[in-house]
Amino acid sequence: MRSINPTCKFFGIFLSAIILAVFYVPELNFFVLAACMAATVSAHPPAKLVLAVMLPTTLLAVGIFFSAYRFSSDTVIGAHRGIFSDVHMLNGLLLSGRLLAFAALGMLFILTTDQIDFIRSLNLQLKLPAKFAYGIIAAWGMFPRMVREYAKTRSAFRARGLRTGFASPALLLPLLVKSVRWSEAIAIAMESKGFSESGVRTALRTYPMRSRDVAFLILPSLAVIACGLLLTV
Amino acid sequence: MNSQTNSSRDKLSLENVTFSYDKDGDHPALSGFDLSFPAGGISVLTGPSGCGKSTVFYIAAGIYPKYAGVLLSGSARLGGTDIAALTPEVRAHRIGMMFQNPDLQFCMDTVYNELVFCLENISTPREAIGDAAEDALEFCGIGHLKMRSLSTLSGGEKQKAMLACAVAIDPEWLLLDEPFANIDDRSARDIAGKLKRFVREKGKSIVAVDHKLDVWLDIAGSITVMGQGGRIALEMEDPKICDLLGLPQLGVDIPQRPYRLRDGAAQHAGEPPEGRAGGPLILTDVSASVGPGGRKEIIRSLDAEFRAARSHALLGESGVGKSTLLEAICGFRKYRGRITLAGEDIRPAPLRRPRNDIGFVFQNPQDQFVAATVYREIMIGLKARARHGDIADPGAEAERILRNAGLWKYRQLSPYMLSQGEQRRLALSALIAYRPRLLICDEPTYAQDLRSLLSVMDMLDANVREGGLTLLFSTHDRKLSRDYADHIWELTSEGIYEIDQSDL
Repeated sequence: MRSINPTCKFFGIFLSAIILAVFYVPELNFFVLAACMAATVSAHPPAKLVLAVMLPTTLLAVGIFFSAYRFSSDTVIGAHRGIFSDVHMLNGLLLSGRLLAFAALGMLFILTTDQIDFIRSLNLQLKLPAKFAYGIIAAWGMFPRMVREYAKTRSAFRARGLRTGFASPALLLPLLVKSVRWSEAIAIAMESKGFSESGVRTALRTYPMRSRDVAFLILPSLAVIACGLLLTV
Repeated sequence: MNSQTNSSRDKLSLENVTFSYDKDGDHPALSGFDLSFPAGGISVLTGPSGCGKSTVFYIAAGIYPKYAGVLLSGSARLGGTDIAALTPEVRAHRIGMMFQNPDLQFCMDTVYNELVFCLENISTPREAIGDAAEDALEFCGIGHLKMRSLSTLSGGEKQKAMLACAVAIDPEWLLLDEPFANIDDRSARDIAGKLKRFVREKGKSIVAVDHKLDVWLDIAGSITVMGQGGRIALEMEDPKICDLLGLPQLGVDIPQRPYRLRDGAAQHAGEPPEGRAGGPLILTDVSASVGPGGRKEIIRSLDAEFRAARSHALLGESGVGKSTLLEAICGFRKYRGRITLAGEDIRPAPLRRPRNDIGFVFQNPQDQFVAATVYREIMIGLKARARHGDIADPGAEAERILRNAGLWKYRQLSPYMLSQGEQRRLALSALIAYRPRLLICDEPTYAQDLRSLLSVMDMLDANVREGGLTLLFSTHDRKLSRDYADHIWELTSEGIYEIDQSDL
């Protein structure tokens, strides 16, 4: 999974998610969930990260299942058959399965792709302007710093005996002032290293589109359509 | 000064520059300013805060007026070329830069990716990028940091990574803006050695802007001192320490000369030994961890006793855990072991009101302002004391404190509008207003010029001597600890030790 061109991977997964949204077939959701889990696990991401995504999602899905089971309308959109003949059961599984399937699709992409590779590949393949691409990468690096600074400002208020709520404007204002200053400092530093918005640059890493990348772009969507149709008929 | 036609030996100059930060140009920071730096050596530009040396740096680097201000006349030139007219990718070949804050100069995630980013920017052919990056890492002696994430590096390591970027881009000139402000002495000297090699072996030229000359004195070919109002006060070729004796009058600190002369024993006469704190601060077997999930134990089993009503300096290399220890004492950070002040355990109890008898002054004063005006910033502490019946008239006390700090005239301004030195004094005053028993300062003189350093330290000193405050401050400046601390402690990876003044 890791070696697939990040842009192709993104659009392959994105298209599948859109197609999945138009089918009302519970089995299809679980089929996509299983496929994504298998593909994610085959890339050996840290088990902790997989749990961090799937555990809360599963809890949420169980909650949604029971809500949808208890409060479902008697009319059901789309076809249903087989084991899901009960309208309430069908409604519950449809909604909770959909949540799990979307979460698994997202996880498959995030846990098997290096974010910087993804953005660089968008820059090279889709001609995303370099100033956006590298701006996003620089902002990404600033995020942990913002979290640290927020905690620091919060301690400063506490140390002065002032109570502040979560995301209080008094805490966010200094963060905003600092963010503007940091972004300017980073922009100046990037420019000092020869980066320009319009300039020509070379690329050490390229992200070629091989036949398997094109296959990944198309095949998952086709598979979802095929399964969806088969299970509907 | 020599002006050759060969492009690699072009001199860098500012010619008749008038530059203003406001659009009307009523108060220009530089007016008809001329200065040139000879090629092929290290030139240092120094002066007190607000003299305009940073403005000179940013104009010479081609960053101003693009990012701020208006250039009313003149230009910065490299040989015959107007620097502001160069595009970034062309300029990078001619002028490289290194900035004061090592955290705010990288775009990518790892050292290697950052080097690749630089080399790609200047259109280095793909097949040459790998070798060029390796050479730069080797020149800076940081091959072992190649794949490390930049956010995990210490300040000194980040500055070396930044130097590696400059080496990889290989510009004719390298401009440095207080590159050692955030790093310890040893890393600073290490980097200075590499800069010297960069000049000697690769035939490069360097201009450094710095308010401290310590590290530069041995390697600088010329020193230029700017005075107030953006004029040149003194120019020296091949400076020696004896040439610098007049610098303190110009607001510039000089190496080896003490900040002040003191008579430690006499100053403590007649003062109760337990001070305001009521007793010493004692650490028993204190450990603390940092990093995600607290995985990395950074300070381990520390034992120390800090005497009351004395000032204590805490020395130690960057990244050894000074800030972590100070934060633990203030209750900002979890720790194991026991910390007591006058026999009382200071661990914050859950759900209890935060204590304010232990004050903490952040390294950057802007991190701790909580009010919209200077006056209100002070009043928060005073009102708290008035509630406890500690003082009768908070307004009068605020005036006294602000006048003492020389900030009364700015009382209606926002704290953010003050100068760096004034912000620092306000941050201290705001905490002194609580009349804390123990005051902890994280690098109180960080990025301060001589005048501001003296005013901040004298203010702290007066509170220790006259108010019986217990003061613990961290610093990289050994001279500062010798001249202002009663006790000097050094934190190392092995533990914390009190060291003798004569060892400094």
